[in-house]
Amino acid sequence: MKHSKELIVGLSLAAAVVVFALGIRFLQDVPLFRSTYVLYTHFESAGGLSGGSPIRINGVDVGAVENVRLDTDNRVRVRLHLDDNVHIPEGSHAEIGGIAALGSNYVVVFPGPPGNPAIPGDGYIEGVSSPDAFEAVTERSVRLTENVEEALANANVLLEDTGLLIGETGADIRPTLRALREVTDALAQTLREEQESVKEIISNVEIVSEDLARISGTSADTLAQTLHRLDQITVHIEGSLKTLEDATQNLDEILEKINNGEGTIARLLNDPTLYIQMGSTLGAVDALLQDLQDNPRKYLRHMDIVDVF
Amino acid sequence: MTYSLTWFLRPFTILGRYSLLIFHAFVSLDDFRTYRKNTFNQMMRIGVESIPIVALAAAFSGAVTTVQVSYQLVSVFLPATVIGSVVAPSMILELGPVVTGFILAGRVGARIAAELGTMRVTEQIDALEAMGLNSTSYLIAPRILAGIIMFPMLYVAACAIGIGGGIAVANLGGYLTTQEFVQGAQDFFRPFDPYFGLSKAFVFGFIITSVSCYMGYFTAGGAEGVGKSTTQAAVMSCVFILIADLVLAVTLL
Repeated sequence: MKHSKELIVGLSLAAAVVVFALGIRFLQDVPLFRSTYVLYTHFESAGGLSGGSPIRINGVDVGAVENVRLDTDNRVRVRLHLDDNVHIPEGSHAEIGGIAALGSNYVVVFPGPPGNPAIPGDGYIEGVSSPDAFEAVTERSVRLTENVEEALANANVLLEDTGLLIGETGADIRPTLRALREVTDALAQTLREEQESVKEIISNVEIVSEDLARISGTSADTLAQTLHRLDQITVHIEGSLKTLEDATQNLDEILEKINNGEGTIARLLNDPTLYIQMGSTLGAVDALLQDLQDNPRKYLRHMDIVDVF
Repeated sequence: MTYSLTWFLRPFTILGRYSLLIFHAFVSLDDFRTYRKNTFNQMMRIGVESIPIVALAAAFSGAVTTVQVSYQLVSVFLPATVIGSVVAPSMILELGPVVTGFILAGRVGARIAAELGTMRVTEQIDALEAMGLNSTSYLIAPRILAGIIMFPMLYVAACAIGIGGGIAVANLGGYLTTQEFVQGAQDFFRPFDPYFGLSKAFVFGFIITSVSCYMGYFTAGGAEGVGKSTTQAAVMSCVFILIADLVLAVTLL
């Protein structure tokens, strides 16, 4: 009886120790009974990694971090527990994934070429430090906040200025606003009154557009022919216009020559000498004819035919 | 004047008497073999016989926590694993030790105080002294030893069963799968947490047994006094558990 009591107490205590040890191992995500092997890696920064953080390959848990320690050269030395059936080929590297601020960090192992021999137990896997996405965002958000603050300050100044402006010219703006409201009221009233006619107009427009649609539907062929002809006519007209343009150009040239005094017609138009000479000639002819009428004999005397008479 | 001074100094008087009692119990512990049988008896009564009630309470608190957390954390942004991440640490850090402590304050504390109180009022303690035995070492040391040894055991049982209850309800109630629960529990697990819970259990075990021993040992006033001591033992154990809980959390976390 005495022994059985001690036995029960001893058994329960032993069971508690076993459950405690296995429980911690289980919650640390280290396989309970399956054996594991250990790899080491170095990171520049642990970034929230701690004992128990999972190790993942392509998102699959393959082990857990056992501990994270600071090395003599202030780099972070991480001891990794990996399942025995997971082989990490040489040339693999490890990174820290997850968001430190959420406490859900894990080690991501990027496996090297599958043909390479596996890294043996107590081996070393290269650790690559990548900036934590969340930290980067946080850093940027500080700058963003500053910008926003600046913008808000500017907006404040602007609003103050506007307030001043309105305060100063309030007397001027108010009547304007009142007038505007009156206009708006009048417009609204007109619209209300003319609602019927507006409706009528709209319905008329609808009818017209319906008719138009019908016409274009029924006489589409005719329209096409007409358009074709119109096209032809346009081509002809274009040709005629070209000819006309040529003629005009020629005429322009001629007129220019005339203006410049080149050629006979130009002289005729521009030179007054001919006119003067003709004037004097006509004057002389006039005098001669007058003289001939007055004294025919004077001229006929020398004529032999007249002498015959 | 003297009355108010006495009233003011009373807690310190009690603290001193309590410390001296515990001190004497362990200082005069000359030969453990004398107390071995008694100690194992107490371990059986305090520890092993408390397993069913502790398991029941732990299973239910784990289950209720799981249901309530999944009721509270309904969000598209939160994966179901979060429930495991909340339930497991709260079981390990707080519910495990405190629920166990409260139950044992009632079950063990009251029992110890009633036992010692009855021995006091029936003058059995005086008889022990007359027989030449050190009554503090004989009666108090085994109980406190049993408390500080068996409480961590009960704590481990409470945690395991509590998390098990949570997983069971998560599965049966359709809240989340075992895999999700375990995944969540593992994601946010810190190896320090169970040790912290264990130290809590150790401290609570000491508080419950020692406070109850004090209450029982200094019982006066017949059957009514025994009743009063029993009530006081359960109540004061709970009060000091709460205070110690806060103090430990503030100092160790």
